[in-house]
Amino acid sequence: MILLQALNSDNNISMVLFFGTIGMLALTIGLIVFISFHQRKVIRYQQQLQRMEQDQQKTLLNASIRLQEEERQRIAADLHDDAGPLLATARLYLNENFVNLDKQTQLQSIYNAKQIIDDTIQLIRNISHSLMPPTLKNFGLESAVNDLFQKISGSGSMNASSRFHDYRERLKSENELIIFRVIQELINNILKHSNASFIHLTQNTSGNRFFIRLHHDGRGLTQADFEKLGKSNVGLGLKNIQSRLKVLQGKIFFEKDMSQTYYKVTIEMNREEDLRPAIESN
Amino acid sequence: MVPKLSLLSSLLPIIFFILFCFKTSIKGLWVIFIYNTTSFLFDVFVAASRWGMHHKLLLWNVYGMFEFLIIAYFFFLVTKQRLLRFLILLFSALYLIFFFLSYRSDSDQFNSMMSSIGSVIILILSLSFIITSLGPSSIPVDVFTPVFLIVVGILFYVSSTLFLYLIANNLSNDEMQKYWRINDYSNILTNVIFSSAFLLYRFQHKNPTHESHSVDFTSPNDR
Repeated sequence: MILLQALNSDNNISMVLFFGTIGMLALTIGLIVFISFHQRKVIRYQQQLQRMEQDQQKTLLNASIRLQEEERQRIAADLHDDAGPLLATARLYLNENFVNLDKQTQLQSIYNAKQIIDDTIQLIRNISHSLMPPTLKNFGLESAVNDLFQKISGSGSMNASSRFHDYRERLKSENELIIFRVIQELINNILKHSNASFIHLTQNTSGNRFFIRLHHDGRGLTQADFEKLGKSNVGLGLKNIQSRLKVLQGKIFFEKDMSQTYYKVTIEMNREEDLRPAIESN
Repeated sequence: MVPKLSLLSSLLPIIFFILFCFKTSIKGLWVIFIYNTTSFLFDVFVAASRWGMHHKLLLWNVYGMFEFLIIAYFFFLVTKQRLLRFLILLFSALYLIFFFLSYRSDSDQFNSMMSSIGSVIILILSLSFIITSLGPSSIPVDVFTPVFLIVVGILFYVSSTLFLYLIANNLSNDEMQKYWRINDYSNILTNVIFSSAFLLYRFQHKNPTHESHSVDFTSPNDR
């Protein structure tokens, strides 16, 4: 104001007005232009992120569909190649000519047919167990995992052990199945690719977080490898793990131990959703 | 010619609002409609009545206060931040106190100081609104909403007239006549931007696909 009061001549006033107004307008226009560019950049970046996420979802969905198809084919093959011939053989023993046979042969045929039917029952039971392990259904994740590790250890090829530190309350059965499948897939990968001599699994909780950690001394993956495989067309099992964990809103981390000797795989998920119905029912 | 054009341009946002936004529940748009209508009526009154013509500067001073308050109210409605809302109330209260302290009914001078203070406050509010709108957000925010365009219009108006208001007291009647055209030009530009805002409202509400991508900054409570 003091400065302006010092202005007396018309020319000076015109200059102040002209440059002041032009300056303010230029600043305003500059601001608007900056906003438009900034917004366009942000929106483009967000769209790119969205596209990447969609691609990732698509890959996971494809992997899940492929895996489902493979599983169906395996079950179809088991039924067609194993159960089919067994039942056909049993039928042969009990054909139309059966009544014309002598008693001794009849008894022998019945015995053979019974044996074959027992085998078929066992086969179908195995198929059904591979779809839903009875230990998991009846006794929970801890027992199912212990059972799985005992079987691996029992084969003599690898030292496998598991320990659940804090599993007093069972998770929802569908969530237990998902975690069990993820563990199965991880174990399968370790057995197939890592050449490890031991696997150790530990379970723990921290607040609402539920952790499962696998240690092994073989050749493993790091997080970068996992992400790279997740984006590529290979690594169907890993994509399947990802899509399963997505259902649980869980995370998986692949890393090397501090000592650089062991590989660690950590599965982390929120237990809050799982505990809520139990708390409410109480 | 320019003053007449400026007066006529005030009709444009009024017509656009009646045509395109009359059913809107966004209070901010209604406030701007009321502001445009009163502004037009005021200009007509000043231009058409002898008394108005004679007491033009006094009327401008009083209208300046009304203009500040209505724009401050618009910002109060469209701002989500509590701090900003509190500041708007505080600034408005201080402005009113200063206005009445400096008010002299016998004054035949344009109240340069209060108009400039009002412009600076509105300028700060406009910038604060824009900065808070562009704050870090995880979702893409389309800033080009009717409310944002109105803020741009206000920003243009106050930034282009600030220096005129600052030196208005140093101007003679002839100079005032000469330089007041800046105000008229700003008025025309602002009215065109306001009209575009109302047109944009119509466009966004006619195309729900566009609407789904845009976030209006108006608080949900204001709808």
